[in-house]
Amino acid sequence: MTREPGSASFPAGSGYSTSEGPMRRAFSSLTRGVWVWYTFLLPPLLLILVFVGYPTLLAFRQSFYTRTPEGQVFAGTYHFERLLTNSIFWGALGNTILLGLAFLAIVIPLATIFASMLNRVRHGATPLKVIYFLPQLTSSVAIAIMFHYVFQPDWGLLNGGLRSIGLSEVPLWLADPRFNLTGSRAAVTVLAVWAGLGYFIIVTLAGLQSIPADLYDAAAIDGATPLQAWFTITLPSLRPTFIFLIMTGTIDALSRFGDLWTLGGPGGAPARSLQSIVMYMFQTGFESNDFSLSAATAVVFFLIVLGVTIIAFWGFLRKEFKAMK
Amino acid sequence: MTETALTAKPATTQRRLPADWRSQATMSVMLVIGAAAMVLPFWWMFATSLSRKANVSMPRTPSFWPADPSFFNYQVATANLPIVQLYANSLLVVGVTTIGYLFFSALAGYAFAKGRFPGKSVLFIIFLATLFIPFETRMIPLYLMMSDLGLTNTYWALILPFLAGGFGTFLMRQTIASIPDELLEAARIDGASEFRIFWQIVLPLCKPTLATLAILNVIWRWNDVLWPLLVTSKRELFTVTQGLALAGRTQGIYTGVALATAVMAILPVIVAYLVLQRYVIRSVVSSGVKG
Amino acid sequence: MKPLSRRLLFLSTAIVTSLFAGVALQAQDKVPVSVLMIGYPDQDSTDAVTGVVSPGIGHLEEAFEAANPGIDLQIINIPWGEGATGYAPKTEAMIQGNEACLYEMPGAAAFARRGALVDLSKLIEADSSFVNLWGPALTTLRIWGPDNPQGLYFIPNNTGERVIHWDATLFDHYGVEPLSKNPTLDEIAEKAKLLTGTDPVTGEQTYGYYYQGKYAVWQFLSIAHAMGANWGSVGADGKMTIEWNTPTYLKALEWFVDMAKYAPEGALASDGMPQGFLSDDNVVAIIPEGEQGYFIQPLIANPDLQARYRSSFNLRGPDGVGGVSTISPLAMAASCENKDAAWTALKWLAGSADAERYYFESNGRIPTSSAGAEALPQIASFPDGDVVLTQPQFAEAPYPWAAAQPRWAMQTALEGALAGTLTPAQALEQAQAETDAWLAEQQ
Repeated sequence: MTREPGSASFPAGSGYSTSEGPMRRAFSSLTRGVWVWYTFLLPPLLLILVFVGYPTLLAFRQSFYTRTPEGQVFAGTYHFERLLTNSIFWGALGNTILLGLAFLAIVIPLATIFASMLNRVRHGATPLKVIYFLPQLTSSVAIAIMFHYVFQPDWGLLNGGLRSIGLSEVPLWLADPRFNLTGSRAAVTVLAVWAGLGYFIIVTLAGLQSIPADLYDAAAIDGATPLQAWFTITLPSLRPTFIFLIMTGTIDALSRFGDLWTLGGPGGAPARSLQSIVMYMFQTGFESNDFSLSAATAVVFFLIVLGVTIIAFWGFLRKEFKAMK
Repeated sequence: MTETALTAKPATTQRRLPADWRSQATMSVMLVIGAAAMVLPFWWMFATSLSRKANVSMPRTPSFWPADPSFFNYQVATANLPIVQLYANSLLVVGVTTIGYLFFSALAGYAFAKGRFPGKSVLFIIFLATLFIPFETRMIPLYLMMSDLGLTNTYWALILPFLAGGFGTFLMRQTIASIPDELLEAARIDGASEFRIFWQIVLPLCKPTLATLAILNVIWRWNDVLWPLLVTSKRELFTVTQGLALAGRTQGIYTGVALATAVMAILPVIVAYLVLQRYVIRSVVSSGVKG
Repeated sequence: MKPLSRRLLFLSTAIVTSLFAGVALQAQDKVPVSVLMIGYPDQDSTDAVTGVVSPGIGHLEEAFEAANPGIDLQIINIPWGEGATGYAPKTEAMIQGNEACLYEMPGAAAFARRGALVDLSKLIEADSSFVNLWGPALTTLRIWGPDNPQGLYFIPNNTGERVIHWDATLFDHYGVEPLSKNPTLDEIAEKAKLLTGTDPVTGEQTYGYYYQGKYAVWQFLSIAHAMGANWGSVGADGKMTIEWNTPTYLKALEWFVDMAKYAPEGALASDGMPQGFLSDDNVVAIIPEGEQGYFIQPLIANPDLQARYRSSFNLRGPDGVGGVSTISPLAMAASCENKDAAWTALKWLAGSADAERYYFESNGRIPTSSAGAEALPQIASFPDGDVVLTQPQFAEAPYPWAAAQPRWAMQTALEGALAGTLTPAQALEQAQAETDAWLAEQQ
């Protein structure tokens, strides 16, 4: 903003008289005022350039090159062509999007209902919040191990429960790769909702508490029932919260890895039904040693996340963020 | 005692019962059912981890308390996994990265908030740009880089990439920008060096934000599994979560032991969370970033 | 810190110096043979669960030198590691630098192709005292090398092992004839069907068949091999050809998918043995491609289990062998200077009872040579001791793609076929297409 930032940094010293004289003091203040900031910035900047910037550039570079015993050979867009004609990649991308959509479509309504109840209930809201938030702190790996046993078809917790209430035909869960409501995708969606619900509740609750009370008072005077007020006031007022949750939830869902990897291995077993795009990247890179294809996937993944982020910022969030504050 | 309380209650509560008691009761019941669904898998995991028999066969109807409770599985799990070493590794990695991340974020945040120097906006954009680069994008080149530097299978590989970041810098800049300039000027006039101002005035004023960042970083690093899986293959260097991920896959046949391992990995986090829950929830909400 | 490390440095220098002096004196008349070994314990260590002591690698060296006083065996023991610190770059570096004569070498085929290894069949021809302790393995394991297109470039010194497990108690309950020592696919199919249902004695639901869903590819390949299928070959230039989409593989997959109906519903999601295996609660009768090595200790510890949990030979193909190979190949570098002494050492390390006992006690590895019975009487005395100890000799040649895309392609396709989302024909087509795409990228 300021064209000459250096000159503006020593206004306080100029009126202060010492034996060294104002000129000398102004000079040392100037040099100090500039160089000290660079010395502050240098270590973190170096760390970022070396561990973030450089590997990102390498990923972009690798996606245009092929590793051969003779060294790197320029390959143009060959690896991108390979990637975009690869049905495994599209399967993984489709899975990632499908699982993300299913998760958001379930978790947001559920979180809104629970948050509204927590907001209105007079007793026990705090301990309940703590409990709902608990899975959020637990590593995705531990949760996946837990749910591996919950969903085990023959003797897991869920099917055991279903059998004990008299069901003889129980779902196959993690042994069923079909697109249905009782297969592996459904199981990991239940897992994700269970694990993520607390976070969505807490954020929605913050949104609810920022709705001005006089809106409800006015509705009450007009004779609206609490349920009517919920539909006409609460839900519309939560719009910024929903947009925020959808955007952050989308980015999280796109980079899903730990739980799916623990349950299905890098191949997303059974039959790649659980393979996400990051798992595909992992498998092509480390199990097939196809680093160029993996790098091309990384670049495409980056572009997708960037796209979502840009839409989020310029389309919705710039205004909404201000509104939330 | 309970009986008298029960019989005495209706008379008193009926009088005080609020108009909306029905909806309050319905909501309470639903909320408690929801909370039970949250706790049940945890409880079942803990109960099963106490059952030695679970290693060979699980009951076909789920049980919430084993017939043979013992700590056998925990003995096996601690014998098979160097659990103390894993905790020590996690504590070291999480501790060092958190201190480094806080320090460098605050340092850069201070420079960006209060410093006046050429190239500030360009540098700030560089820092911010890292926010838009998913870790997964640079993960494989970063791994190859670590391997070229000979840093795979060292603590350095687990620590160095996480010492500085755009998110922390951004958050610290926002906080420090709200500190009045007069405070800092007064110290400058007293001849304090910029670093001393940073250390003695700025940092103490940022405690809440630092706490937020620390909590977030601890959650991220403690639960991270992708990166440790890539760069370390020696058991002596495994973190708790990584040890759990690998034990879960190799000890798949020993249900009781696998669950005992999982309990040991998540217990410290849960205890810390229950103690600090107020701050943890606030941190996660205020930053809009999940663990 | 500093004084301590300096003292340690001094101490270790002193030790190394005195060692060298000792070696120089002692080894004057001894021929040195160095060997790279991977993943053995450096020192004795006690297992906290079983209380069994895993002997350090020094015991192997001592036993060798006691049996071969004329040779000074120098073992270099490295961990498996991974990536840049793994055994593979280390092996490459040692071959380049002529640092050892003998190598435990998981990637031996590639080194043989480069001409870096000695064709052992020539040493066998020249060795009048040679006795084949490894059975058909010495024929199965021949691979292409520049000096011999059917060369023997390594001999396995130990192995993991796959057998067919079966539960004698369930056979008994149903009154079904015990499984034969060398069961055919037809016998397994027939008996698995009879053993699926409600146990006449316990009233429990039982299953005739089992497969580990996450590793279904290995079981499928041994079924297909038993039907005479052949996955392909590696050419003289190192290029692989892989053919999955053939009538024999189709027949094998149809058989497998049919048999999966007699396995527990959740088998596709499993990555281990069925619930209750090695306990009184077992409900699965026949487990092809069972991983014997993982369960050998409980069986040794409990003789009652040996009578109930039996082992038959893995399925065999028309070539007389069958089952996935999990061998550790021992090879000799072409650059080795003391080939005679190295040959003696190789025969001992891959064949002697002392060596086989060491591999078993240190890492639970199963013997590959017929000295196994002498080495491990505790296994030889099993009802099926001969099966456990000789199955490794009948394993198939190692698959060169066992850790690469063709494996994942086939595994995924199998999962689809077993779950019913793909027909067997579609599954093989998919596996072939993905394998071809991978092969096209290989130099």
